[in-house]
Amino acid sequence: MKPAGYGYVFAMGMQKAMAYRADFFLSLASCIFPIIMQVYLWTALYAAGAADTNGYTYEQMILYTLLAGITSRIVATGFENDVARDIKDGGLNKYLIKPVHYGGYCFAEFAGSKAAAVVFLLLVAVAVLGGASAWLGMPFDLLRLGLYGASLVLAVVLNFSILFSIALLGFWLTEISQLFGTISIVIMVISGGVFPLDIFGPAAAAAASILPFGYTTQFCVNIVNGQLTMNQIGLGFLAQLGWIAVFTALHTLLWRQGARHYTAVGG
Amino acid sequence: MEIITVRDLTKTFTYSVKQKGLKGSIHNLFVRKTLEKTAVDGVSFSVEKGEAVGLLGPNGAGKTTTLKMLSGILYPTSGSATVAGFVPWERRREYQRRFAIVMGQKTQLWPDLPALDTFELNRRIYQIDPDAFRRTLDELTELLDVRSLLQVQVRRLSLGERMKMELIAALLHRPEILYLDEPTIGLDILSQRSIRDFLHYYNQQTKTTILLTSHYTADIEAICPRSIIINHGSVVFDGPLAEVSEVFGHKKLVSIKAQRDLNAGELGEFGTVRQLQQNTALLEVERAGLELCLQQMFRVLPVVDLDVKDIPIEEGIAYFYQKAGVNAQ
Amino acid sequence: MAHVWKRFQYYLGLLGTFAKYSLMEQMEYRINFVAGIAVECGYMLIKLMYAVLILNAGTEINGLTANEMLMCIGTYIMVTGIYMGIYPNYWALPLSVRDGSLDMLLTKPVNTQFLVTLRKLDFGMPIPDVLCGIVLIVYGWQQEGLPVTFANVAGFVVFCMTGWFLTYCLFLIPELLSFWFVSNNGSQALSSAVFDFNNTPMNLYPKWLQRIGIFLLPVFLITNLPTLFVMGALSPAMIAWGLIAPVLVFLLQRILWRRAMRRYTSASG
Repeated sequence: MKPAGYGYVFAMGMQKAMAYRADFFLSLASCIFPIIMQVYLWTALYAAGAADTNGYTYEQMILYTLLAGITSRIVATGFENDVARDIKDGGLNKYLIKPVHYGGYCFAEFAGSKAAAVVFLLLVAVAVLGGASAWLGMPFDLLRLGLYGASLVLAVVLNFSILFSIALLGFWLTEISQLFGTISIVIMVISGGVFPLDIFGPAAAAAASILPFGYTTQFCVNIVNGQLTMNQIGLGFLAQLGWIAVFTALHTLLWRQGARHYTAVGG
Repeated sequence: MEIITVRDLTKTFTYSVKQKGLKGSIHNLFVRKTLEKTAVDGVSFSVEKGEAVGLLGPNGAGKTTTLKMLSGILYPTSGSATVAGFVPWERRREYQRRFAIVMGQKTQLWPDLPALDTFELNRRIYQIDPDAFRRTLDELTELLDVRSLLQVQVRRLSLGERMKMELIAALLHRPEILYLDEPTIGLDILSQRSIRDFLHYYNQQTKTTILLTSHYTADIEAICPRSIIINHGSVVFDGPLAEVSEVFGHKKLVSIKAQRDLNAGELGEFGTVRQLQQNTALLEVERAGLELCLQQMFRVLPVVDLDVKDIPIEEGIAYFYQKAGVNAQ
Repeated sequence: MAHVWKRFQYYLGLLGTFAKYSLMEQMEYRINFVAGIAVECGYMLIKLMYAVLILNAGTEINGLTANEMLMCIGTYIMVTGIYMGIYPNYWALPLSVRDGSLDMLLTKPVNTQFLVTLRKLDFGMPIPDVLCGIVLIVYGWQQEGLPVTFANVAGFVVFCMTGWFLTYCLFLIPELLSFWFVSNNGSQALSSAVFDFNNTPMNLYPKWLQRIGIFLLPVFLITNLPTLFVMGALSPAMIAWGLIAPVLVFLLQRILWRRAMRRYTSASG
């Protein structure tokens, strides 16, 4: 398929997202509740003078919570159910016989289905940062905002590659789609989508900087809330690219093995 | 005794439509247009206890919707129906114990377990006495010749074997009424035949009332002495299937084989030429003057072989399918 | 009365059969079984992160000690773990609405909600949660030195059971929306987001939020009541509410269920 074809799939993804209008609004609403909960948790812990948070001030923690909630929503997936269903019900056949790259098709549709929500969420993120500089006295840095945007693009690609790899396990795990709900929550948390992982001590911080997950959320948030130096940001971008390469290789391999397995079993 | 009575049964579905493209999607996000489709339109018929009745009709004619209403899966939009004294869509337990439905496209079997386990579950659900259960199961497995497959996981069975198991699962509680929706769909000829034979035998032996939909006229011919043709939601024919071609009753088909090649001109005077291929032809001839026509033919043409037939049932059915279509517009 | 007892036995028998068949099915797919447990362990660890935060704080917050808060978190982990045991049914519901496999269930002479919500049981996923939950509860209870009397234990168990029942009803409601909407991913996300308020005990939240979570959308009853009961911190009115609320929610859910059934039986193709 030519690039224009994937553009068409992107538009179809957008339409699909809007066809499920209740979904569209509810999933936007659902990212507010965890944020409210976190804000109160931290308020209570800081008020009790008992927050052992590895150097985060109260303001930084609140800002982190808000931005992480938005960021994790931006990178969140949802296509994995479709992939698992295609594998299980034989819907994959229609891609196997066409000159289509299945991963590319999924990514185009996934990106399209997010587009509207991402625009909205980015506006919210900018508003949050503006509010933070106005009331909490946090710096509002356009350079960092731009870098945040760039890191988000890579984060979306990385998160897609991770989840696509997991979804392809459906070739071997027939009931995997039952687990996706839980898997996505676990991934969100270990990506730093709820709280910064370095508050759990140096070991957790080290794990977060080595493992791929933090580079889908925590890294992006820390760019814009000023936790990272420019040097660290540069290294982070390298890590994002590196992990994208690793997971792209992984899902290419899984796809190759899986498609063989699939056609051998007869779908 | 009348067991199924259907009066003016009507079912209308609503669905939403969307304009093409992204603009349509954005518009659709806020305003939705809904349309109505009448799937069943004032259908009336009745079925006697012990009868086997075939429901025929083209795709989307409302056969399945009718069966679903009679089994209580769907509420009608208007009209009434009583089956064995119950209103189906009230879904009374007593009614549910008295009928069964088998749908060719849906399953009640647990795919990862042997069929025997689903049977045992149904024994508990319908509270069937263990001895009666054993006897019925033995009898049905014997008739359908699936005894050796009872312990095999359902997903390892062939389509035909699976359908036989579906039938057993449905009949264990000895329902008085059996609804069948395309029970032979997608099956090979042998499986179709054995399911057909079984249903005919079962209906004869147990006087279980059967209401069956199928696209295969062979199914209907073998099982149902009476057929109802539904098209565009309403009944267009009710009677024995053999009589369906009686609309063509004043006509016969004559096929001829001659010693030499025939031409349309010389055949035209005997009747309408349907097919003509070198020395063979098929003619539609008025029944009234048939004898004279045949004598004339033998005299004029060098006939080698000649055969007179009724118009086939399929043509009668096709006629009713199309006729209702014309009426509806 | 004898009739009711017979019905109860009938449904209990069916439940037993479902349990047996589900176990047999799971033996077929051992990798799925193990994968389910592994993923559930991950989820449990995440809930434990909140316990770590609170233990690190180590002080009393709004009337609850760290140990008591541990008991609350343990209760939540245990109760949602037991809910995971019937999760496959909830997961499959929107699908069976869409592909019409609900049809066959509707023709059975059995309560349809019973068939739909309890037919498939999962035995793997609850294991880590239930074990971990019990450990947290016992540890917190012991460290805090709360009295181990029959009344305390019985009350704790009863409120855990009502908590499970609330979970059963409250998670069914968003699934029922799939009768009206083709996709209900949004409402599922929303409901699990609301439930996540239970990740920490409610004493961390302001009073207005606590009231919403107790009276309007009674999710806080699940996590907090058993522990508060053992602490003797529940007024008789609150105890009564803890018993009445599940009944009310159940009735509400039944009304919605009937509507959903009516919708299915009048709209589906």
